[in-house]
Amino acid sequence: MAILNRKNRFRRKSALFLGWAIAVFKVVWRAVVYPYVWSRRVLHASLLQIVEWYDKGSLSRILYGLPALVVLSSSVFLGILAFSQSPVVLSDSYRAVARRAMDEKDWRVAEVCLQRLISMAPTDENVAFDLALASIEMDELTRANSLLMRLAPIEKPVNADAHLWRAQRLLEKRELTREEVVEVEQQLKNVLILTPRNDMARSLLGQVLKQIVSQKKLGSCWEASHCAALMMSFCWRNSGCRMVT
Amino acid sequence: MRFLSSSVGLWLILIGSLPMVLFHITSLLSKDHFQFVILLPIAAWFLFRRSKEVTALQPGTGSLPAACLLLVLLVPLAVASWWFSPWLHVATLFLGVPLVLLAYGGGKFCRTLLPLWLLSAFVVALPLNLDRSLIARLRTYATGMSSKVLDLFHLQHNVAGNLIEIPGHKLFIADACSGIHSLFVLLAFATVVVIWNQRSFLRGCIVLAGTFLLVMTENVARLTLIAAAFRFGIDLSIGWPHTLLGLFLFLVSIGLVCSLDQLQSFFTLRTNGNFSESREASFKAVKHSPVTWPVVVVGLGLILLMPVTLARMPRGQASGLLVALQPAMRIDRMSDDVLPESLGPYQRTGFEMIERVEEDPFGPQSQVWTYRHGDIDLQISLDYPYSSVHDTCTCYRNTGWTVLKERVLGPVDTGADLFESQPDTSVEQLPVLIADIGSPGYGSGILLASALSPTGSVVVAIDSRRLLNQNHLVKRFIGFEAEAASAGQYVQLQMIALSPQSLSNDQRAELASLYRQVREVLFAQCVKSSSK
Repeated sequence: MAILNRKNRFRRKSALFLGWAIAVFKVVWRAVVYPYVWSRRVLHASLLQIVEWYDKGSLSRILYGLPALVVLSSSVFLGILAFSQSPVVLSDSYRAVARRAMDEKDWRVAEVCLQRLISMAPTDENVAFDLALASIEMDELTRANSLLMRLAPIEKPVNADAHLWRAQRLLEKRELTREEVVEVEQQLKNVLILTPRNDMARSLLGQVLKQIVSQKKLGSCWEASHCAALMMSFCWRNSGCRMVT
Repeated sequence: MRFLSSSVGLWLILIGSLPMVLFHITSLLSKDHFQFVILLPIAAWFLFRRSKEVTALQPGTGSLPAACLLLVLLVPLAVASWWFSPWLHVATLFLGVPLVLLAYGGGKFCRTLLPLWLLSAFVVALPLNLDRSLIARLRTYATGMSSKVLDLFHLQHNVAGNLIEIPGHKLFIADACSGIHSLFVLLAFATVVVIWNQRSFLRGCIVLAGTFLLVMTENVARLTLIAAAFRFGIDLSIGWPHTLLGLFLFLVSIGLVCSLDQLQSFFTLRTNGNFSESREASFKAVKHSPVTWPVVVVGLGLILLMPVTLARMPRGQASGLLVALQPAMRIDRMSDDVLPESLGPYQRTGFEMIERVEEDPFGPQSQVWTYRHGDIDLQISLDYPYSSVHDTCTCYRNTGWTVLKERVLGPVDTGADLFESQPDTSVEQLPVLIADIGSPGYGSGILLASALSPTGSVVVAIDSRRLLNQNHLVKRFIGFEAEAASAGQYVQLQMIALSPQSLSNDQRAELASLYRQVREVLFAQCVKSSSK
């Protein structure tokens, strides 16, 4: 009985295996043979067509028509490739080239790449700031000014890098007018609103306010205390302590 | 006698049409992309000889209904004379040719010569200045497609309107590069090939469609090659390398059109028509009895209309060709102090003279003064010479700027598309085009512009209103007036004020007032300089 059961199980398993093997074989057969069969059919049909063309005396025309065929088919192929480019990949590639060009101080390449990036994403502030820097290097001052005015207006914080850059450029001057000092202060405050832990901005603002205090041009006690607080916070951070404000 | 009467009719038509046809042809030849039409009669003669050879052209019995229909054409011919519309006149003649052929030799005779008639469609040209719209569309297409191909080959560039910027160079896609020149010439050439090889209408259409694709490919290839060559330090954008490249690509395209004709004949599996059969069929005795009197009537009608045509002909206006043949305007380089150091609150920051390529939208030459006040940059530019009056806003649109709210200051803005001052117009009433402009790189601002015409009047044109203006549409469709009015050499004065913030109404009013002051000075200098 046990032997009989074992035999039946063996038969069932064999049948299952056979069925599975046949199914796999069919798939493999189709995968291997069908391409051959269909290629043969296409080849046969093409040969018949060519023979017909030859009979009608039009075979030589394909030789004359070959240049047009090559040009038209390659332009269609190129067109498909060109239109299937991903905008994200394109933008990344331009970003990489722009970054490399800026590092190498190749401002002409950087300017073109950044302009293209701006046209792809007009609201990207970082690209706009880089373009402003490239424009300055390329002596395109109208555009640089326009971009920087947009990115670093005095009255509201927009882009921390641009605000800091404008403040630094003003501080490079030997003598600042009162208006310029106010602008530097406001630009640095804008930086700190956007990036409160910006050490450079804190340092510069501290220096500016110190200068104001030393020249006794500071009008109000609040500003004096604010100046002192900022200077303290900067010193504290530099000495490795942490200050919670 | 019959031959004599039909010849008399044709001669009468020819004489009656002479002023209109001359005006039309000279106007056509003034456009670069239609100059090939002078070769069409030669091609037509060869094709006529070939159809005579192949089909043994033999006129049969003329069709009386077609001949009577010919008389209807007198109405548009009269309208064309009254409005002095060379285009309408030539288009009517074009439509009348098959009717004349039908009246002279019957259906078979007409069918044999019909392909030749189709070739003459190139002489009629597109109405409503559609060729200019086509130029604009082809240019946009060529620029966009070239940009994509350049991206495919990892050639970094930027596209602003019809300008391709590559590191260190700006390539403006001029009319010539838009492909319009090659398009019309190659389409005409493809038509000649199709007629010569006696292709059927459908096969002819396949060749013409393929030719269109080939022209597009040629233009994209040209722009891509020029941009790519800069990477290897080769400048193909100007001078003889540019001409040679264009010529080479044109010759390649000619070869490809012939190749395309062979390719379609291979796939359509048909040889040319059996000429001997058609020739034999044609040789069967056919009685030739033309209906000639309507042709004579139309000819006489045209002769009678001639005084009207001559009376309505615009006086004192040269046709397009004569204007194109005028020597280029020379305006001496002005010094920076032609304009004051400070203009209102604005301080002068620079002056330069710029030379550009012939078809640049901002003119071949410019003298530019730059001023600054606070965060407002002011640029005053005198651009010249332009062969016709044009809309400055279109130039900005073509170079990637956004232009909004185009309107006119000075005269009452009636919604017209062209404003021209009269000799006794006061300075405040002289037209000034004003528009809001903006660009992602340069911020926003306003543009003020106007042009000095060859007659000394101040002119402003607004292109965006042209298609909406019914009056202008009618004039352009049936009249020569609009085209003739704009012929000559013009100087454009534009002022742009750019600011990161939007300009207040007071600032705008101040700028408009400054523009008028500057215009007084600079236009007076231009008149003095050009009259030397």
